[in-house]
Amino acid sequence: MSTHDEQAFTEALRIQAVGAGTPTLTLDDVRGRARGIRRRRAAVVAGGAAALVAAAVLPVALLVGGDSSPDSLPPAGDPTVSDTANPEVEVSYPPGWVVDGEVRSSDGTAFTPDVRGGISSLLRIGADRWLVGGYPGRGEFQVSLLDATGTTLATYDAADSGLVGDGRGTAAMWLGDDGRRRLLLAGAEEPATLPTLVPEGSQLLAVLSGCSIESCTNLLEVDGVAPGEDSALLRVESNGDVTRLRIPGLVSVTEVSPDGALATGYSVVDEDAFEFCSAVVDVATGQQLWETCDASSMRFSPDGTKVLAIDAYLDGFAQSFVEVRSTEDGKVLHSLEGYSVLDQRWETAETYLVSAQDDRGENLLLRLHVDGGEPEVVERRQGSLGDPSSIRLGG
Amino acid sequence: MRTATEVEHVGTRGTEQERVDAEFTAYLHARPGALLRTAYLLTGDRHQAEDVLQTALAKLYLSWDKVREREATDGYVRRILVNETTSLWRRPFKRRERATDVLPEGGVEPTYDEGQRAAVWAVVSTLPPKARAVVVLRYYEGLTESETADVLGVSVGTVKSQGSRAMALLRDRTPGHLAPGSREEER
Repeated sequence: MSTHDEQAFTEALRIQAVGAGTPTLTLDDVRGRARGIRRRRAAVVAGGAAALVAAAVLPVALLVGGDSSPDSLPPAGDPTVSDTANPEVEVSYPPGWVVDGEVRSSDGTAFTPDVRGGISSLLRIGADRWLVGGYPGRGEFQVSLLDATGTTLATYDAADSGLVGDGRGTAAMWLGDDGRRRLLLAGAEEPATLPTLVPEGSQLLAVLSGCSIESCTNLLEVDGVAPGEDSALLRVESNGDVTRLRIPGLVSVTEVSPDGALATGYSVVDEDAFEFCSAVVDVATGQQLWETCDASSMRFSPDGTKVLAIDAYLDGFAQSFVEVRSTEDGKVLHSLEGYSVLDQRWETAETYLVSAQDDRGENLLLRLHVDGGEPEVVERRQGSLGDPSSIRLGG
Repeated sequence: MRTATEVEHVGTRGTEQERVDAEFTAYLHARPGALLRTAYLLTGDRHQAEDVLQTALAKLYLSWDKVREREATDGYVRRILVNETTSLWRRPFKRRERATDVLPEGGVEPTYDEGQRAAVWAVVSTLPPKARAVVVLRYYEGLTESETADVLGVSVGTVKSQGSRAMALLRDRTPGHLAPGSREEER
């Protein structure tokens, strides 16, 4: 090939590149996307797996106020996650979704929320209550409690640190702007304020099932406390007891099973090599049950027996498949392909919801059964290829 | 119990974040135009280019200190752009657009003008994502074969072969020569 050809080729590409236009990205845009990535990956530890210690759980005392004290923490290597969890709890309320500004659920719920500024997060709490997170004005995050008609019963000032639930619709948690956790249980009209202060910048990740006011365990991510450490994962009890989770074999923890016995997260994150592997690990022993480099972002089913997973590389606009794997051995039990997968959630222990786009740009909400069968189309809205869906899943 | 080192680290966190934000903002003012153009050539779509660039910059932001120390910021972003674009191509609607070795129908442009540029772009658009990345990095970004191989995580041989193949496609698609005036030289 001649140099002349190469120069012409380069010139042609340069002319074409002008069509890219001018970028409009701001620092806030970038930070917003970064927050999303960080939440999905959760607590990626600098240095990788080799830097992790052997103990499954180490006590730390990062929080102040309440009853927090290193003396009250369980000894290293003696995890007590399951002490506070209650896997026998069977009560579960189906999650909801938002379509055309209306909240809907499989139990017939349908209402237009009485909130300003749109819905950034949605969480069911009991049979007839919903929590909505959003930015009604001036960029301040607010959590609203709604009834089943969409009427706002109460609003709460909140830190922009996540609105998380237990995956069953029986417990929800967020951070108040005073740095203390708010816990709302199904059937309660007002949230309880847990006395312990959490560090500024904390990100709530999950509430383990089996919560009560007296005994509730949640996970949160905080900025790293050791030099060179990006972030750390803490397990916090309602009485303020704190343990720092360090699980051998995982460089990050994306979720803990409903009974707290198992954790899942990334075992390998190598941006350079384009390699992203995930694993399921026994929290108490640190033993890896299985690992895959084909799927990631795994979420436990409400009964903990299965995980919902998507492509291993997950930071773009959409994914190419969603699949269900056995928690025990990682065997693929069910999968959905042929759509651009935008979001996915467990609905029950046997069914899951997928927000997807088909090859004509139509936005769909699909219900799938882990035992097989064709996807059930729950919602259908015309959209455009590559554009965000008008159907958004809540918890 | 927190150690003195840990306390000190937590205490300086706010200042560190301000420094990162200031440094990153400076980078954000200086580089996105060029990176967006690269992203556009990789994806072939303005919206997707903005999307992959936003993700790449977010990952850079999360790894700012680590990447900055390596003095390889643009290289890091390019790598993420390529990875994001590859990820994009794995999605169903994109897969249906994936090119094959069969070139699209169309006439040969007589001169090196807007039509010729469009012809070049049409060929680039038919390339599979990795080959397209080779072309963009080699002939638009001006990276060496070795640098291109490093960004893509492939061998120099792969870069050579994919670059040659792209050029061969171009020659087939635009008989004669690519350069302006070359047809007159043939006469």
